[in-house]
Amino acid sequence: MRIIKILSATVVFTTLSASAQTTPSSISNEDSTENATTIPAFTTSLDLLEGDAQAQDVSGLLQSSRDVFSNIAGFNFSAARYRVRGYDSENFSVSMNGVSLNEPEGGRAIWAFWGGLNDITRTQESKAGISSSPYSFGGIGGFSNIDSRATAVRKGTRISYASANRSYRNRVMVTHSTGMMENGFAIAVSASKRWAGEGYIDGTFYDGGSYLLSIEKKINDKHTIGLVGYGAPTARGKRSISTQEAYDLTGNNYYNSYWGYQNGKKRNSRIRTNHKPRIMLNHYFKVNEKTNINTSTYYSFGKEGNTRLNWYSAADPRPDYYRNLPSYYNNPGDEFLFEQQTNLWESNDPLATQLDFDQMYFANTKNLFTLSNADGVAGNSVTGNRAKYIIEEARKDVTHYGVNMNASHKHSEQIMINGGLDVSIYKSNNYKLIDDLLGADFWVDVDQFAERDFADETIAQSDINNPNRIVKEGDRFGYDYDININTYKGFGQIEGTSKKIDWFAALSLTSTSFWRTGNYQNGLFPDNSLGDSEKQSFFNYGIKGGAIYKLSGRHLIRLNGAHLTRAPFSRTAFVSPRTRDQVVPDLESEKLMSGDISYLVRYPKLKARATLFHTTLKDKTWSRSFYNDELNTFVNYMMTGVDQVFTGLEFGAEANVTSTIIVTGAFATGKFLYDSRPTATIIQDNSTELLAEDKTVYFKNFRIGGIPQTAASIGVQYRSPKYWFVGTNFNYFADIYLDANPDRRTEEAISKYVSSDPQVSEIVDQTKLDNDYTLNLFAGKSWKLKDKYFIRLNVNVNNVLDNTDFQTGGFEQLRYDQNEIGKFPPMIGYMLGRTYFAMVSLSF
Amino acid sequence: MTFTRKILSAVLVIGITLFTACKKDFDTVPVKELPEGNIITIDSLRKIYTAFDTTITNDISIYGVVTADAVTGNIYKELYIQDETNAIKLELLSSADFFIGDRVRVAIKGATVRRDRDMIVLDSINPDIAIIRQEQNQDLTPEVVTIDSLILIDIFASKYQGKLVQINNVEFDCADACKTWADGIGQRDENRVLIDTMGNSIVVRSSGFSTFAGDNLPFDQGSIVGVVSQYDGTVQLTIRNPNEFIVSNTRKSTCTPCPAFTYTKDFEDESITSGGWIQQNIAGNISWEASDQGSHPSFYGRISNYNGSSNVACETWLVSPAFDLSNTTNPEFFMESDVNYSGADLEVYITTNFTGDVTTTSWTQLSVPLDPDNSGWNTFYPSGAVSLVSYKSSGVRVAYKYVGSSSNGQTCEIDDIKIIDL
Repeated sequence: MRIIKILSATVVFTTLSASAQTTPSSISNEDSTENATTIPAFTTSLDLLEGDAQAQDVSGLLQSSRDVFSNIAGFNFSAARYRVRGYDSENFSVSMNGVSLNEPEGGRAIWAFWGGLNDITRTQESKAGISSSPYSFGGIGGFSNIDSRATAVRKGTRISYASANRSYRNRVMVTHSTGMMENGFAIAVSASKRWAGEGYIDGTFYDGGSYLLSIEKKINDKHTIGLVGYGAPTARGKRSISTQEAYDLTGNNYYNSYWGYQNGKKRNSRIRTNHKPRIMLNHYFKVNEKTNINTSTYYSFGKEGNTRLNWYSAADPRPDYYRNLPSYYNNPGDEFLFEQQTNLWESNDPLATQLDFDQMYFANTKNLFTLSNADGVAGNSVTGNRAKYIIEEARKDVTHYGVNMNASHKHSEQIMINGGLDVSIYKSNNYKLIDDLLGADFWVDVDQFAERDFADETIAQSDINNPNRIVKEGDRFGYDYDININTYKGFGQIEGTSKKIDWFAALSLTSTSFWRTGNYQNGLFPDNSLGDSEKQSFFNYGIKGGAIYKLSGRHLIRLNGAHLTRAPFSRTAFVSPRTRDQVVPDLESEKLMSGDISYLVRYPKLKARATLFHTTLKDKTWSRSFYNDELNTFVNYMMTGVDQVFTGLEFGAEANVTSTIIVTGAFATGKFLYDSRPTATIIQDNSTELLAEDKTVYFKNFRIGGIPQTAASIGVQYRSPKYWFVGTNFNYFADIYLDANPDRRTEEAISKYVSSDPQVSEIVDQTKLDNDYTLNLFAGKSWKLKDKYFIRLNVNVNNVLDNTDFQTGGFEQLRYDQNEIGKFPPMIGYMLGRTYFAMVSLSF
Repeated sequence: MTFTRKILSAVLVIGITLFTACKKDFDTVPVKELPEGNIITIDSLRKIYTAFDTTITNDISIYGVVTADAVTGNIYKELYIQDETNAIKLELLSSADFFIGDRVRVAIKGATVRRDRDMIVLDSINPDIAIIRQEQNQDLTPEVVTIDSLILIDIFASKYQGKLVQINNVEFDCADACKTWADGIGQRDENRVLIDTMGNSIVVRSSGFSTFAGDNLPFDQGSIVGVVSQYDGTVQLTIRNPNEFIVSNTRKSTCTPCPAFTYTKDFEDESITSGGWIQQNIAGNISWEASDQGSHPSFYGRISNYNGSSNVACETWLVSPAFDLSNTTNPEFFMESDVNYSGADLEVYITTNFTGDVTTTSWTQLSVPLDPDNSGWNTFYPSGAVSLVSYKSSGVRVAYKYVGSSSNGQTCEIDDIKIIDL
C-alpha cells in the first residue's frame, strides 16, 4: 500500500510539476550545454595554457532554477553562448553537498568532471543573482548546490537511452536508489556511458563514462554519515575554430582542421581526456531541533590532458595555418599558387584541408639523426630517427582535498543564522608528455625556439639538470611545474522574515595563497624556474545583503547588493608559468560591486520577473598567450587594471493561458563593457626581454565579445492532460561582438596613420556580428504500465530551420599586421545546424 | 492584473530608457591629424626641386595611385605614383607590397626630392611607415601620347616624366625585333628601340631581373603601355607587363623573320645552373663550374675529376631546362667544346620525359661532335648543327654525362650551347 501511495504521489508530481521531471528543457539542457562547449570561447592560436577548460564551463548553470527567467534562458540561450548578465562563470558558484566544485586555478565550474550524472545533478538547488545561500557566500551570478546524498536521490530505478547527433550520438544511463532502508542505510548508484564514433562535427568523437556511488547511514537521530564517490572519465576529439576563409573554401561552417587521415582512417590530433574522481565523506549532525552542522571532507585527484601536434625543424602541418591557406598567395604575381591552393581547398582535397598523418609518419622515418652528448653524458651518441612531428599531451594532474563545514541555527521563527568554514588545499602538476612519436625513435627535449636564437646550448634546455634528454612515448618533457593554492574561507549569514519584509545579510572572509613550484630548471630562466616561487597571498572580504518587500503575496519588490574583493586567479597571475615563476606586475585583488532591483509577480497562472542590474568589476588581471611565428615563440599578453561593467535588464514571464496552454517569454539586454584603459605588458616565452610594458590600452566601452548582449525568447507549449506535451520556442539574439584584441587599441598600433587613413577604423573598430534567430521544438509523452512502470519519451530539436550561418561569436587574433589587418582575420564560430536529442526512459 | 501590468511596464520602460539614454561610445585611440594644408599635389612636390636636391622637413603628405609596381620585377624598390596633377617615381628603402591601382598616401617628411640623371625622384621612402594604402583597384587609364611629344625635353625633363602613358601603332626596330626584352640569362638590363610609323623612336629599357626578361619582344605592330623614365637626355619607357603590348597589325618596316625558337646558354653570368640547369652527382663529388681561364675570350662551363693530386671516380650529370620545341620546324642543337687529358668521353643525351632524377629517366644519346683532340688545349671546337627534328615536343631536355675514374679523367670545357629553329 505504501508503495502505491508513493507511486501515485509520483504521478501527481510528474504531471503537476512537469518542470521538475519531464520538461523537455531539463533533459535537453545538459546536451545543449555541450553544444555550446564545442566552440571555444577565446582561445589562443595554440590555446596551450587553457586547454579548452573555458569551453567546458557551465553556461547552463541555472538549469534547474525555479526562476522563470533563468529557466527560459538556460534552455534556449545557451546554444548561442549567452551568459547570464554577461558574467564569466567564476561568478557562479557550483557546489555538491556544500563543497565547492569551482576549480581554484580559474574559478570555473567545469561540467565535464561530472558530466553524464544527470540523474543526480538534476537534484540541485539554484538561485540566480545575488541571494542568500546556506552553503557559501557564493558568486554574484548565483549558485547551484547539487545534493548527492543517497536519500536525496529519488527512490527506485531509472534506465534511459538517448539518441542525439551533437557531441555524442548515444547515451545510456542507469540509476538506482534504495531510499532509507530499515537498517539505516540508503544507497544510490548511477552510471552512464555517452559515445559517438563521429559527432556533428567532422573528425570529432566522444567516449564518456560516469559513475557515482552514494551511501548514507543514519547512526541515530542526531548523526548521519554519508560517503559519495564519483567520476566521469571522458575522451573526446576536439573541433577547431577557423577563419571565415576556411569555412568559405570548404563550404562548411563546421570545418574542423584538427583531424587528418592515417592509413585511410580519420584521426583527431586534439584529444581531450579528463577524469577527476572525487570522494566525499559527509557528516550530518542534527545538534537539536534548531541547529544543524554538516561537515564534509573531500579528496579529489585525477588528470586533464589535451593532445596536440608539435614539430621540430619541419613545416607547420596545420592545414589552416595562415601560410597554408590560399589567401597567403593572394598577391599580384602569385596568381598561379593562389589558384592552385584555392582549387585544392575548394575540392575539399584532404591533403590540403586536413592534416596528413601519413606524410608525418613518412617524414619521421626518414630523419636519421645522431645526437651527441645524449642525456647529458659526454661522448654518448645516439642515432635514430629524430621526430619531426609528434603528438604531445599537455597534462594537468590534480590533487585537491579539504574540509567544509556548514552550520545553521534557527534562532527564532523569524531569524535564521548560517555560517561556514572551508579549507581547500589544491595542487596541480602541469607538464607535457610524448603521446605518440608518429613512427620516429625519439624526441630531444630542447626548446627549438631558444635553440634557434642562442649559440649556447644550455639556454635551449628545458631542464639544465637533465640536458639533451632523449624522450620517448610516455616521457615528460618541455615543462613541469606545480601550482599550489591554499584557501581558507569563512562566512556568516543572517536571514529574517516578517509579514512584509524578508531580508538577509552576509559576510565572508577569505585568505588565499598560491605559488608555483618549478620541477625543471629552464635554460633560459635558470634563476627563477626551479623550486618554489614567492607566495602570493591575498586577504579578501565580501558583504552582501538583500530584501524583499511584499506589496502583497502576489507582488514583490526585491533589492540586492554586494561588494566583494577576489584574489586574482593563478591562471592569469603567472606571465609564463611554463618557463618561470614571474607574476604579472602589480598583481592585486579584483573588486566587485553589484546591485539589482526586481519586480516579481506570482499568480498561479502568471509568473513574471523584471530586473535591472548594475555590476562593476575593477582591477581584473587578463592574460593570453599566442604563438608568433616571426618571433618563433609564444607571446604572453597581459593586462592589469581591467575594469568591466555590466548593466542590463532581465525580464521573464510564464502564463497559463488555458489549463493546457502555457506561453513563456524572456528578454534580456545589457551593456557588458570594458570600463577602463588597462595597462598591457607583453613578454615572450623564450626571452627575458619585454616586448612592451606600460602600454595603455584604449579599451573603455569596448564590448565584451563572444556573447550575445541581447537575447529574447518566446515560447508556447501545449500540455495534454493525457500525459503528453509539445512546444516550441523562437529565440532571437543580438549585439554579438567579436572579442577584441587589446593591442589593436593602443597608440602604437596606429602610430603611423593619420585620422583619415582607412586603416585606423579597420584596426580600432570592434566588429559586430549579425543578429540571428533559432527555432526549437520539443515534445514528450509518458506512460504508466501495470501501475508500476513509467515510460517517458522526450524529443527536442534545436535549430529546426537548420540555420547554419549563425555566427555565435569569435575573437580577433592577438597577432595582427598593422599594414594589412586582413592578414590575420578573426576566428569565427557557428551555431550547429539542426540537431536533435531523443530519450526514452523507464523508471520503477 | 492591471496593477501588475502597470508596474511591470513601468520597470521595463525605465530600463529601456536607461539603456538608450546612456549611449556608450567606444574609446578613441589617440591618432595624428593631417591638416588640409599639409597635403600637397605631386605637381607641387615636383616643383620643390629647383636647382638643388631638397629634403622635406614638414609633416607633408601626397596622395596618388600606384601606376607601376615590382610584381614583374621590372622595377625594384621603386614605385611610380600619379595624381590628377602629375606623377613621380618613389625610391624605397626596402621592397614593399604596394600594387598597381593602390591609392596611397605617402608621408614625405624626411624624403628627398632629387634629380637623378635628369629624372626627378622622391628618394629615401621607408615603405613600412610612410606609404599608407587608402583604396585598392583604382587603376588609372594611361594617357595616349606620341613618341615625339614624349621625348621632347623642356629645360632638362620630359613633361611626361613618371607618368603612365600608352603609345599606339609602334613596333620594335628591326635590329631588336627578334630579341628578348632584356638579358634574362645574364640578368642584364637592355635597351630596345621602339619606332612609330613616322620614324620617331624611343628606348624601352627592361630589367634583366624581370620575369619577362627572357621573353621575345612582340614582332608586330601594336600599342604599348609603360611609365616614362629618363636617363640624362634619353627618355625611356619602362613597361609594367609585356601583356600590355597589344598587337594590332603586322609590322610596317620589313625585317628578316625571327627564328621560331632560340635558346642560348653561354655561361657569361658565371653560373652553371642559371636558366634552370640542374646538376646531379650520381657518384663522387665532382661538379661543373664556370671559368674563364685560358685563352677563351669569355666564360664557359668546365669539369674535371682531377683534384690537384689525383683523379676522383665520379659520374656527374648536367641537365638543361625543359624546352618547348612543339612549334618548331627544324630545331638544331649547337655547342662548342675543348677537351684535354685522357678518360671517358663526355656524352650528350636527350629526353622528352625527365623524371627529376637522371637515373630513372629514359635517355637517348645525342651524337654531338665534340673536340676530337684531347692532347692539349685548342680553340673551342664547334659541333655544327645537330638536328633535333625528332624531338618536336615539349619537355625536351639535353644532358651532359661526365664520367671519371680514379685513374684518369678528361677535363671538359663547353660553351655557347644553342638550340635554334630557323
